[in-house]
Amino acid sequence: MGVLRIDQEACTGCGVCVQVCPMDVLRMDASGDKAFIKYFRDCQSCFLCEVECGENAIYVNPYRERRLPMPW
Amino acid sequence: MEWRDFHGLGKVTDTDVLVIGGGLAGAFAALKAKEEGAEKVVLVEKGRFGSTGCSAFAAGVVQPFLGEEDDFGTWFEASVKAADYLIDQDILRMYLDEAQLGIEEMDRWGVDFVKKDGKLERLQSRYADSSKPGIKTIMFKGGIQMMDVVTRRVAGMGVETVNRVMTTDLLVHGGRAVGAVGFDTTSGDFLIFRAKATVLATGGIAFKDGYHATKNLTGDGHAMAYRAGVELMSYEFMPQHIMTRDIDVLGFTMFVGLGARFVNSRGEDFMGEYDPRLRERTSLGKLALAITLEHEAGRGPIYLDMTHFSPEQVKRLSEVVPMFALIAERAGAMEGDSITERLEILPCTFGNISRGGGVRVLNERFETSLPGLYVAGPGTAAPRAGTALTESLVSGTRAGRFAAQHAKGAGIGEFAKEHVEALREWAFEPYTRKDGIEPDLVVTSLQETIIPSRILVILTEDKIRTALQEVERVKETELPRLFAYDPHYLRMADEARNMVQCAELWLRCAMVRQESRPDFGFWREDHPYVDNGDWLKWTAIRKEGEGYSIVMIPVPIERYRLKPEKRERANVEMFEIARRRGRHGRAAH
Repeated sequence: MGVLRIDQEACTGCGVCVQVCPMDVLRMDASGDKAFIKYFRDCQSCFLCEVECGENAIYVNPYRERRLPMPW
Repeated sequence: MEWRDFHGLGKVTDTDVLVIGGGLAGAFAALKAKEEGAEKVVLVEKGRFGSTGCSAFAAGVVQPFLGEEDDFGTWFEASVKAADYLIDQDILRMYLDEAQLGIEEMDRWGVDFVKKDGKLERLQSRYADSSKPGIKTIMFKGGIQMMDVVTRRVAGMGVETVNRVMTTDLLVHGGRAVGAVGFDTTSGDFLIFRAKATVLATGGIAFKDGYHATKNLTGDGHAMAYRAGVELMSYEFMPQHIMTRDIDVLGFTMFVGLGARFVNSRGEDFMGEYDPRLRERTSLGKLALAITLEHEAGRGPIYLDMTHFSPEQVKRLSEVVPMFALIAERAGAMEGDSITERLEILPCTFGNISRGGGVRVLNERFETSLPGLYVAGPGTAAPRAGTALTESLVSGTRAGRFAAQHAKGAGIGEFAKEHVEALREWAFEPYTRKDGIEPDLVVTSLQETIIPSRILVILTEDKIRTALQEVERVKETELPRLFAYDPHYLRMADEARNMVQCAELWLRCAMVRQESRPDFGFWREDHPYVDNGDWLKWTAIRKEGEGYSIVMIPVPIERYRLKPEKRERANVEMFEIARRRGRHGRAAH
């Protein structure tokens, strides 16, 4: 599932989550005020954005972000 | 950084040493190149230096040989025997001798190692016999803290970092590497790095399977090296790991170190059957094979059981693998200081990092078959010695240092405008199409081909042939229509092309090796034996025109310190054990 929500009220637009994302999933909106989830499907569920967010504004779902084929 | 226009094709910058990849190996290569006197060092990272790649997500376990505490002979012999002698003993010696230096440096800079009475605390390795003193690991408080410290050090040394730039190809002129090209995944600018020496530190390929730590390992370095005519070695080896099915947690070495068990659907703690000596501590390849064989015998699903851990053990686990607690708790598998649920496990590929194939290392300077190109980290085809992190420290240090020395005697390379034009066209192809296939489909097609356990874990000639046909289909019907909406998707598209390339090379080499190699997770059911008579050799694959060639390189065993007593076949017992255990009715699930 991956990164699901960025609380738009709590987000201060500091950009730390955008910077830290290994997969370039998050971006700042055009005015530079708030972060948003742009490339949802590429989230690797590493939780870095959630952990680094000083405002506790981000929620990452703990289950795998993308269904993998089963080996059997 | 200074950029100039290059014939209207893109922007160009010059550097003494170019490092491609921002994990621990790339960081050390960049640092050591600076220390060696390279004036300008540029590190290019497709994500963000410090948080992309395996190093940032390393569970806090690393396995360096410590000179004052450990016995060199024991470590050396354990590594050579684990690989059944298919190992470069010269490089192994360097890995053992020198990893400690990197650990000590990181300790001084502030990487948070676990200590007891001021000394690094040791833990019995997953991969060792607990009844004997031997191979031990040390612990630190996770990859993020480590990379935080290391990236600050790199910046402090004056290395110039370029983030969010996907390197797409090496620049080659007059038979030597003269830099690389790529594009900015935000702006889409085409960038040209002219370098006197180049270090590839891009890791391996893991097909975006299993672990978040390996989702960025799309074989970019291997594919670029291959396209540039560089030799890859041991590419048939694509070792496995174990993953939990529903959540993505790292830390197997810690889990097993603390006493985790694997149980089948009948509640049997079966690893003792497959490896009576090491049990759960056995190699990852054997674990993957054992759970596959149990599953095929109708005794799946298989679980990782840590519900018996004491509060102290859970605390230790949370300290060394901080993300485990967060994820497991949120998924309801852990409450406070106890683990409440067993976790279903599946085999997955961990990619060809650490024990797998990669760019061939020619000598102790970590040169490749292309002059001016060096290689570091798990993207090398070098022996497993400890963990990928220790290898990264040693190979990064050496590649960076020798690349800087090379740069001192070399001029900035020239190259033809047409060469850059062709590389630019290739890089942007999916972005210049008006419509087409999303990269995700190509990735899914590849995963559907290689994740089934009868390719991922157990190989036979028939299955390899079928998988190759499928890879060919993807190559012929999907890649020519690959489409990117924007520069971010272009990265995904170019990664997908690299993955298809690496899958093909893997399967072609796997077809050639007609034996099994337990330590590399290379299980040929049609050749279920280690054959040190005929197969004490490495494969090396390289591009030849539109085709490829594979040659065999004999292991120079006569001049090595350790030699096998007999050069003959030895059966892989795992298959026999599974046959003896027989089949049981499939458990309902």
